[in-house]
Amino acid sequence: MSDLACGFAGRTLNVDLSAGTTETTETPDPTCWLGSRGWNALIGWQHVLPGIGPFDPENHLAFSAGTLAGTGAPTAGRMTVSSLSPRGYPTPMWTSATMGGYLATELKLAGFDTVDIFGGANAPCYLLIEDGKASLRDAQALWGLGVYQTQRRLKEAHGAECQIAAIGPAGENRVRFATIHHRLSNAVGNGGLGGVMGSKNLKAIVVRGTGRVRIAHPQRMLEAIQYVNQRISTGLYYTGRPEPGPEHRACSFGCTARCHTRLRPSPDRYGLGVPWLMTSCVDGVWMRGEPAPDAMLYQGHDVHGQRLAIRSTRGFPEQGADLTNLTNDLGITNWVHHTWSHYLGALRDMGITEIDGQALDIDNPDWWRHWLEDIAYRRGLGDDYAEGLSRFHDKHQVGPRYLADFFEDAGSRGHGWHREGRTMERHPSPFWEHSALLYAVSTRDVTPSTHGFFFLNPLYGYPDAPLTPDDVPARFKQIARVLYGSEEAAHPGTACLETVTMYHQHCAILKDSMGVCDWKYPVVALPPEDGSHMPDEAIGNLNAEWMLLEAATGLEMDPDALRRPAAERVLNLERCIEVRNNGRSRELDEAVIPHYQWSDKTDGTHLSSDAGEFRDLLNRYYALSGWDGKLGWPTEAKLRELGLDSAAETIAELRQSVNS
Amino acid sequence: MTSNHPAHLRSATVTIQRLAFNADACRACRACEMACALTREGAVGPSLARIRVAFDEFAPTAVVSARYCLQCSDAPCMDACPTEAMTRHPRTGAVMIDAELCIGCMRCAKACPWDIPQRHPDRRLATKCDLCSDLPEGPACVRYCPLAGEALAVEAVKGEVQS
Repeated sequence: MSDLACGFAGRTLNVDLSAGTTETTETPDPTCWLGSRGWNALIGWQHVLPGIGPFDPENHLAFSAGTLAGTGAPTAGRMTVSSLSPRGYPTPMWTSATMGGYLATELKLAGFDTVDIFGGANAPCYLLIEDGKASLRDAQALWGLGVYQTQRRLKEAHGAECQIAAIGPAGENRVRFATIHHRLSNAVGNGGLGGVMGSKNLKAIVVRGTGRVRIAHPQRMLEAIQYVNQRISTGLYYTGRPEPGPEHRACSFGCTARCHTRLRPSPDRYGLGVPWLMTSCVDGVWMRGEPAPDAMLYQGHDVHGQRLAIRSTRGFPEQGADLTNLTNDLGITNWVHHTWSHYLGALRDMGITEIDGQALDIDNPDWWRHWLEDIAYRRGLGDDYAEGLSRFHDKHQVGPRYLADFFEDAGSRGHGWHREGRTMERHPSPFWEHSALLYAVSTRDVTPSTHGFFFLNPLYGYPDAPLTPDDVPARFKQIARVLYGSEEAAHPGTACLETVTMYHQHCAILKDSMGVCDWKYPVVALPPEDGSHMPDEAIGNLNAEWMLLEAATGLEMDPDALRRPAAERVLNLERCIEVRNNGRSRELDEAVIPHYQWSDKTDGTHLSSDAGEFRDLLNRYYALSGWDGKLGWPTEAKLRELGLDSAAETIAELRQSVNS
Repeated sequence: MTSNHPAHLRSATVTIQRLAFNADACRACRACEMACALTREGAVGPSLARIRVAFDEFAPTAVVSARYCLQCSDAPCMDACPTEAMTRHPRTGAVMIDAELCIGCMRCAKACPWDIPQRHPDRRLATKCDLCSDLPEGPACVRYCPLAGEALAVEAVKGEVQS
């Protein structure tokens, strides 16, 4: 019996698909590992050893419910899924992705915090978890179906209240950007983990739990919930305040916040049997209208004088809903449209109108329909598209390399570049520098758990650079002081870059591990735009997660310890997995430099030709992290300080082999 | 079904409070379920909640729905109870279950047109929404609903009850 009496299920389900067996073990200590992302990192370190590839049976796929999932904590319906991801470029990388919906809560109600899946089944199967019991079932009849039909069939078999995560044809066929899908639009979307599930012949996970999550201090929990609700219910503090409406639905169990998710009727032109479309910012990529003739996604130059002008491409207001649902149903991340439509559009503007005889008819929604299906089933050229843009360009060498790299390269780890002041919103200094540093030390698109790094951005009135510290509005200085302890953190070119970046890295790990929404925590509000006074204490409670955790679990932890050392420990162990398994080092961290030598789309700033200032920033970041400046590896002293003795020994051996 | 209440009782028109649910406004966050279970049971789990919200994104219509007691004025559950464990709260008019008198026969659930009373998973006695009538601040589900007043509210209706 686990000692984790409150807040947790206390058990991990270990599923060996090769042997067809399951067993349970105790959930690792959450005071050490925080929760889902930390537990998954521990699995990666202990079991995913060097030499294992993403599609090898020895790779593990870990699903963990957030620590606060099922406790009533606002927005805490999320889980973390981690594995060695095939999407990583130039090498596969240890990757974590989060997903909302009802699955995390259902898993906990069924008696498990984590499901650790390894091995590979001989034939298609699905995992059925019902109130503490698990079994593997034949999925031959489901193989080849889309995620919607798969869920409907499984609900018919196991009841409407079961919760399901499933892969579509893209996952079955090991597409590198395949999703694991849940409900209508929840997904482990951008991490590339659907193909890992497919490689294991695992079509779906079905969970039904009728149990409960015990709460250590119910009254205190209710008070903490009310406290957080009052601060998050009025809207996203850095993307606006959407009004409530009949279309508005929560994406996750326990999400009391208003945000951009909308449930709208779908015409279902492709006959998927789905009458609705759930939209968010991600799904919206297909539905953008016709841009103005002169609308540019990017227009600028790099430090070497190379110029680039990329026109904004169109979405499909009419067919966009169908394309969104089709993308979901096939098990492909919707972000592909943003990246590929602009890349292919730029190629066409350069006079390249076909690839291998296939016309780039990107203004035609039917062309995209076939493009998606060819990828999911790896038909024809779709087999190469399914490898991701970087690998596609490696093979086809179509157009200039710098164009492909502008959208996706080793610096972006094989993900579409995202929120770095170039291809999406304006992010003048210091925000694009944070983005650069986050990308440098990450293994995937950094945005999903670190939206906070840009909450001081121009969406809320931060002026376009160039500017001086005197131009920074007082409210941004105030929030910088409250969050980071220094008003200078809001200044362009601030000397606090590494401190702020690390703060948000730790926040991201904490949020992922707790299972709460990245858009809502820490619970922060911006002071009024009209300049009226707002006391520091009204800006927010940076320890809201701790309040909820303490009330739900009864664990007695220092609030500051959630970030350091707990989140820091997880970050270091993830880095050690990468160092040990994939040779991660400073050299790959610096692969971000060429992208940031393109000018920011609004303020025109960029890294210098020798990127000396960025290398210096990396030095400062490594020093702050307790990593050595030469290799960018955690030092043995830092690892031992964090209690990671096994990792310290491994890194010491690796260091010895490098030095000898 | 045969009434267990004496036939000589008179009818009276009273005000009955009950939950009012608006499926169009509900966001299906299920905060109501969690607040109910936390407040009444000190734990979280839909099986412990007296209100249940379902959100079926694959359904052609009525994607959000809720199940809860309507505190019916004719209250067939009360009539069916063999131990007179069900009474109306004097302030709210909600139908209460006296755990000391309930024997867990679940005839109340069989009599209810919507099968609302549930067997408590631990105590094995009938449970249902009593509008948190013992709490001066009102039902927990409404208090914790992020769209209280729009998606979930307390409404008062006139009803004829036996007195």
